[in-house]
Amino acid sequence: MPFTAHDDHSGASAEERFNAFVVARTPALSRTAYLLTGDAHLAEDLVQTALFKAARSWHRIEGDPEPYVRRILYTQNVSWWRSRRRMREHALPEQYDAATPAADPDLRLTLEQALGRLTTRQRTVLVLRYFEDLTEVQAAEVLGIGAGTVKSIGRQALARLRTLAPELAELVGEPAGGSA
Amino acid sequence: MTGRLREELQRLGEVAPVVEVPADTWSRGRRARRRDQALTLAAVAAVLAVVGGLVAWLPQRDQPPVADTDSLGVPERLYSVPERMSDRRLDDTWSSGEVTDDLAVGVAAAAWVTEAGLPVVVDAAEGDYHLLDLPDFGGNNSHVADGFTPPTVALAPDGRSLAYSYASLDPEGDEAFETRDAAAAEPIPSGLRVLDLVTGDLRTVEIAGFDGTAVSQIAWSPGSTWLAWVGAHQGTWTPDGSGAEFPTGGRVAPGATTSQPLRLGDHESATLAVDDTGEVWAVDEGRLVRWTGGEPRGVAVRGDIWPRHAVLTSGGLAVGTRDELEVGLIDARGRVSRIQANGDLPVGGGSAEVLGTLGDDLVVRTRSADDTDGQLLLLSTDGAAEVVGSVEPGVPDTLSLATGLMTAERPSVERPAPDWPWSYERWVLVLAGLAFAVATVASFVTWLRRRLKGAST
Repeated sequence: MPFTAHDDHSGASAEERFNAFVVARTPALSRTAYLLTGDAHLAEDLVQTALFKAARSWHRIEGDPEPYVRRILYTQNVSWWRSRRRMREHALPEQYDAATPAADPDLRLTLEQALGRLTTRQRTVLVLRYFEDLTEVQAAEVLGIGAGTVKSIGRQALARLRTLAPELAELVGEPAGGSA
Repeated sequence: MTGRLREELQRLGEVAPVVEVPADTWSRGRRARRRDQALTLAAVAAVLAVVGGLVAWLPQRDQPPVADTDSLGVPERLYSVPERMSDRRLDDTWSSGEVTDDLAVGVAAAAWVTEAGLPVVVDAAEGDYHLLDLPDFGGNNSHVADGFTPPTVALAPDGRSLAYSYASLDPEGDEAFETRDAAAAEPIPSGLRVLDLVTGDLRTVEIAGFDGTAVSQIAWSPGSTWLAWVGAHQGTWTPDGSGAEFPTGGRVAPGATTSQPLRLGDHESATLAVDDTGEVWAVDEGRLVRWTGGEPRGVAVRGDIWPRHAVLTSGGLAVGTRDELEVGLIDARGRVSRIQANGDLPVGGGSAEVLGTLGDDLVVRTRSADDTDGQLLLLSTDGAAEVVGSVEPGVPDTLSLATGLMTAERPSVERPAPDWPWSYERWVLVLAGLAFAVATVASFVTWLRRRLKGAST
């Protein structure tokens, strides 16, 4: 049964509904945040920030608060990536986004490690498309960008995974099917 | 296959640690919400304060509706004209765009000459201020305006005519005028002009004598028919200055273009008034002269007076005093009595000037010694006084009123304040102040948001 931010005829106060939402949805939000950041501490910050903002704007949320909270997760993560200060404090994995020698025969990366070497935007698109199961249009709407941009970023992300970890090619498929 | 990728992502997500959410997240969120509201209110209040301050600083706009032309009257408040309106170009012409040569301004309520020599007429229908470029007005020449016999204007009591001193100091087409030999040249055409304020027509009363005549005081009879004047013949007169002066005066019959001379002798500082029969009374600090066209009859003034503006009444010549609550009355024998104003009136150590009559009452302008407003009083012979208007201290003593437009029931009317164009300095100050205020508010809001945001997270 989906949560509602306001009166659901249960007689619960707004605070009680918020707390119930937190208890029920934090595990799922934590998974998404972890995949988005690739870092447990950043994921914790991200979820706590999203829930704090949701509490602050609870009066404006209509219906199910989860889309609102998730949108904060996605956009806040991109926002942090843009923050140089944040980058210095947390040494985000994007600093390794510089081209890694693709021909390094000793490079063997797990999917987790490879995700960590994508840009935040690439990783976010992959999470939205293949973890949240959103279409390109839905992902574009959530991120506030064009569907074409989502498609382009997704294709770049898959290509980069193939480059970073050829042994993962089986996971990400052939280039032609990258945006499926 | 991306289906495998989806499975792997699900697997990775399953091992993600569940985030600990602080128990006070809700209360912190609501506190932040209240701070946001307070911040919004503060920003709105700041903007309102800035806008309100600017609006209050701007010229008052919520003025009463303008009366229609059937309700001519004297404004209950007369405002001084900003000095910048009297600025001149290098060739002595007026530089303000507000100065006009459109002289048909309609019936007027008040008129005066600014300290810099610019004629001001306040119309009686709407209370508009007209700065007039009068043809050959003596004040158009800065040397004359600043001289010993400054030019003047006098508004007729009916408000329809404006008499003024004129002097063609720079006749059009006379290229040799600037370098003329003063001793050999023809006298400067000068004297009185009467402007019909309704039609814009001019009547010239040339007053011959020596190098020209500088008229410094003009009086209308109560019925706006006769004119009397005093001034000085100029021994030497050029556009750049004047030489010896010889006091003189005269009267002008209704509609006449000549003046009948009045021999004033050495009474060069005489103040005069004329009635509707043409009888002139002229007075200085020691002597009263009455003249009906024949030989002037003079008597000594027995009493201390301060001859400034004077008005003929049935009881004699009413003159102002150096006491703003007192008017002098000189009878035909030169005896001086005083009318002391009763009632609760402001006292500023100033002076009183008699501007006209309203029935049996005198219309008196009081002036304080400081920069506070003066009053327009209706003063009866028994001393009863009623304040019917106010005059800003910057309105000079050349003020004349159309007292014929005043009635006992409606001595003055409400009119809007003049809306002068902004000065360059004011524009700069307003724009700079606005920019500063906006920058201050923006900086404060930004600082507060950062601080609150930092405290919240």
